[in-house]
Amino acid sequence: MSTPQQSGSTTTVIQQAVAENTDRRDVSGMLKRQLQQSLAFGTLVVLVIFFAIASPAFFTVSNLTTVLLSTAVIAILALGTTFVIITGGIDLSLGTGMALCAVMTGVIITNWGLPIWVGVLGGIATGVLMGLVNGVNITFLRLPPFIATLAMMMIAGGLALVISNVRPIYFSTSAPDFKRIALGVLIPGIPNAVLITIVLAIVAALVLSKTLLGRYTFAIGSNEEATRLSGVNTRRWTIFVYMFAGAFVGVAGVVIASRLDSAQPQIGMGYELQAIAAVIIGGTSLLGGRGSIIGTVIGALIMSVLVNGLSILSIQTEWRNIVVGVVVLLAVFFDSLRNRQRT
Amino acid sequence: MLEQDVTFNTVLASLDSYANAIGWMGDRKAKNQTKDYVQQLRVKTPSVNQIVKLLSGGNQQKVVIARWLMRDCDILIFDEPTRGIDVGAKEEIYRLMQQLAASGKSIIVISSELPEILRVANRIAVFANGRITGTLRNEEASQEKIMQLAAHGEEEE
Repeated sequence: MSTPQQSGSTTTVIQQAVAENTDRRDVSGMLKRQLQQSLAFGTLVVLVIFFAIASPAFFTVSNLTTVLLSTAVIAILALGTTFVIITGGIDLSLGTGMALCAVMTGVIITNWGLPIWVGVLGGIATGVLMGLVNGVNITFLRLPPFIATLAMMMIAGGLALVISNVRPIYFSTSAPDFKRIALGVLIPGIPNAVLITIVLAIVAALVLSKTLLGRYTFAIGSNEEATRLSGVNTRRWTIFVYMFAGAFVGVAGVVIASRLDSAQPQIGMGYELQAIAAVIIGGTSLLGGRGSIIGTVIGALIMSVLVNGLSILSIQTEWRNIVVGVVVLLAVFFDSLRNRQRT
Repeated sequence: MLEQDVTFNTVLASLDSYANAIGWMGDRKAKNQTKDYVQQLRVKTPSVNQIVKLLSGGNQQKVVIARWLMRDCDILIFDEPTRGIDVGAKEEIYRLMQQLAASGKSIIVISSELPEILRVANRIAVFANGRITGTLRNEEASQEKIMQLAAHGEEEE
């Protein structure tokens, strides 16, 4: 009887040693994760302080409202695409897709004369439908996400032009109230577009961290094959993720149409890259399996603070693009640095 | 999966049973059940929130076993269950398989390690070139006999 007891106590000692060892590593890992988030947050704070000192016009209520308003559309796109990027995918059809959703909303409200809410739902449905097509192309036709959504980017851009006859669709006469979706003020001091963005960010954060869809998003991004072997229908959930992101594209389309009080078929181009840049700056890994909504929100804010601040300092647009490009480079560089540390 | 924590990896195959109709996760229940399995399988981990990558190979293997035990299947297939893990963890996994068998589960073990086969199996089917070349009961089996059957199949081709 004495032998098993002895071996028993030995294992306990080992167990403790292992536990202590891994515990410490866990703490340092957590610190590292905190750090990457606070790195983005710190950058944002530094930028705001810098611009506030550099120009008195920056840190004013009206300018900060402008910043938030200009963040809204990119942030909404970025929220949805955070899910796609965590699965290890990418969505290049965000920008032109958003234009198509805006045009569809315009067609429904102005050309068909239907109520505003039908137009809003139609715009969102268009986004979900595009997500469905993207998802099916990626999972069943096994197209790489880059190619599938590149094709969708061109198709959606073309459709937006065809449907609108290459002319903006105006809401001012057909639905004067439509612009209040983005520009109205439900809560004093906060334009509705910003309010919508905040609500969507909360929804996205809850879905990502508290629901089945969020779990599978991380699981597919960590290791799709292992997830499939665990009995998960990864194709179906990948499609759901693209449809979910598509709904955000639809909302972004409605918001931008409302903000401009018109559906502009050509506005979309370039938005997809800004949204993706916001997601990456926020610390979501392009390799999949890692990312957060709060990071994406901070990333989107960094982008628009940069653009707004540089324009207040009257730096030319060309230079603004260069600065944003450098920031994206730095963000991806830090991301790869973190990956190297981890392996 | 290595980047995720023990709970995530344990419940992965039964996630849907922890979600309600709208897909909201019952995290507390998942965590408690994971704790039960961590205890039962003696997974050495400081907590169920530990990233699986930081566990040893044997403990990672136990987490994968827990993932499938959680589904409460009647038949379990272990494909090379002790590859690349240390001797102590190997013994624990053998002990675990025997416990499971004793509790009425059927276990199919796929292995190319002869001592392991002789240790755990009641019946041994030897494959060579994609065919079963012989079935042995544990009492009559030996490393030589298994090797004979395995080589026999190759000669035939």
